[in-house]
Amino acid sequence: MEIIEKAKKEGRKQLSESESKQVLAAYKIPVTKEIPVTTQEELVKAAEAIGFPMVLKGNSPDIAHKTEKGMIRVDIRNLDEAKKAFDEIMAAMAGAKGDVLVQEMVKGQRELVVGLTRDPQFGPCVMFGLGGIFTEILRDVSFRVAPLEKRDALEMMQEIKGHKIMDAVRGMDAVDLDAMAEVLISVGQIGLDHDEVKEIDINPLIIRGNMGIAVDALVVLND
Amino acid sequence: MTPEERAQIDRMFEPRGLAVFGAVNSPGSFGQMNLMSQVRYGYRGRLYPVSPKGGELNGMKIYKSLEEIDGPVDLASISVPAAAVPDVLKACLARGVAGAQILTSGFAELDDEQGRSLQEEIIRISRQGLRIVGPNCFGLHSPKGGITLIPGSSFSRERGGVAFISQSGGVAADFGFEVMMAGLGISKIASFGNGVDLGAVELMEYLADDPDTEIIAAYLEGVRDGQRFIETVRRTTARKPVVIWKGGLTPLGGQAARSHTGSLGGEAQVWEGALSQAGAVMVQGLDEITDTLRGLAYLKRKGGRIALMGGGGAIGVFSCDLAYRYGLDMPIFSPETQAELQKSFPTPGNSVRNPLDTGTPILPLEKVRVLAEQVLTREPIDILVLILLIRPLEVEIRTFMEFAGLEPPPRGAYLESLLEVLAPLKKSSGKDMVMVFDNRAYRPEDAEAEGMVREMRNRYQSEGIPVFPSAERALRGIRNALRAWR
Repeated sequence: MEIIEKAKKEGRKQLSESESKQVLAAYKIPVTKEIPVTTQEELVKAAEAIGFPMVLKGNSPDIAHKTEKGMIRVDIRNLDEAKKAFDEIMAAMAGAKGDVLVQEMVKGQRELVVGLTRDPQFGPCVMFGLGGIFTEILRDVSFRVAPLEKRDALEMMQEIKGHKIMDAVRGMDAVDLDAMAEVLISVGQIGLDHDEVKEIDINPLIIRGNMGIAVDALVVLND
Repeated sequence: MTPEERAQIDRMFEPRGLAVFGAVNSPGSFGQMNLMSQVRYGYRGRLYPVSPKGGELNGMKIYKSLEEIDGPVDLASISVPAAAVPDVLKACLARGVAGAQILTSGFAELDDEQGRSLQEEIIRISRQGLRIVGPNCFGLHSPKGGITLIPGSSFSRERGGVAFISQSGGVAADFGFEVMMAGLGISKIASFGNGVDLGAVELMEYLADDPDTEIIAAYLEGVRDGQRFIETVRRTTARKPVVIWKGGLTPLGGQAARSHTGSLGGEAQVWEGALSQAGAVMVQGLDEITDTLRGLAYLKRKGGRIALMGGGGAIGVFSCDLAYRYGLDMPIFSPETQAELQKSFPTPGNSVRNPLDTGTPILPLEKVRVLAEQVLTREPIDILVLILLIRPLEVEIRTFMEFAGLEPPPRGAYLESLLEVLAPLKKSSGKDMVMVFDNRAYRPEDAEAEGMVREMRNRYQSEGIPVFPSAERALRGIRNALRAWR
């Protein structure tokens, strides 16, 4: 894949958020609508296309841990807020190579994590579980070895302690399990198709309505 | 696996001739213990101790080499020092021996240059057409073939449908005893150690098509080719249940992971997922593996609706808790059934919803028959679990009868009569039955009951009713068996 080739040639160890999402999109995994901008003029045009409320994020392959570095602003309601946020994020990026993503804000209370890891014994393995800030705390995840069959994807979703989150709980729609199964199968396929991909993190995958949307993504490359 | 390779493994498990190498003249040597274990176990084929010095041992001729031996030699059992192994293997190859089990350690498991290169040499020789089990193992056990592991000379000679493959020799020996104690029959055991030729994948493939094996269990710490292993297990579980005790589930230390996924992909969780995917049941420890095998061997209906019956010691509440913990389905009895059951108890107050709490642990046999029959015939259940507390049944009752100046019944009388009641009920209802003989022998003199309990357990199992030592173990065994059949 071109994006991956390019990153490898540049000696990079990971893809930026937007690059990572392009890889996912190539495998039909739903991702946020977003437009990268580097100037205030571009910002204004992008804001019009994306609409409010929206999210601004610093986007650079060189910076991990965006939250800690103050590179995310959510729930931006108007252009003034957007311009202010843009300036702050550019300052926080402190000259690192990259741009700012103008991103649709996905509203949804349910956050999942979907990932890929290369196990030394089994090769590419897909992970599914409760995401967001509780990922590391709860560690409520399940694994399957790629390639996944639909049955594997459906079973792994039922295996986590918090599996009821996929049901129609608290007035929310039940998650479309077939569509989610496709996401899991596809993530595994990325690992099988691309030896250069070491790890994938989609966290959070936010459920909007009955569909999961990748709101943040990280593709880590092999050394 | 080619038909030739399969035929070789067949010959290894049922050897017409077994050559034993390794200081067979020296008392206490591995070679001699190996030899004597076959004799004690009752091997009926030709046993050939081999040592360059020759001589004789306990009336057996010691051959100086394979060349001196006349009849067919199908299996070589080798305990010579590591550096001497390759030459023995070459001789086996030349002689047309089907395979060799190398008990000796000191190969790649040492992680040093000499060990690794010796192991590579073994692999080279094996590729020329000699099957190898090991090195660093206890080798093969087969009641049909009459061969056994060094510690296995007192293993049962009974044949059964359970096969076990193990990376650890110690665990293989423990398993042989544990399963014998549990009254389950073994088809084959392979302690395969380093697994340079016949490893987990090859043995699983072999056992999948072995007509004598119905259930496959394994103790594994790691596999060479994870993908191939999962594929093999997946193909096997389509036909026979596979139970795996995965040892060494420590988090992968020191793996620098940049992502959450990388850091969460610990060995335990990935193995759990992989084995689940392949349809195998993952267990831990001898108790759990034995209980799971009991469930798999005896529960014919493969159904999960459970009725539970027992008396004394808060059994009702406790078994509900257990059923919840293990995610088991204990459907509540219909009001009609409950009314019928209640008739057996003069004073109301027993819980008869399911579980059926009989109050006293010493229930008259006729009452047990009536209650069990009502549950079995009226309720849509698959398994009836009966919990018996042995101490009141065997020990206390004797004490009470002494108080009353009466002659205590013979040991095991109650259990025996109970079997006469239950076995026909099981047949006519077509449902599964599980017994719990909870025998807590608190005083040394109570241990007398233990022998009787074991004997009774074997009698019940010969009628198709498995017996577990506790309610927890019974329900966990049932849960695991259901997982395998899912």
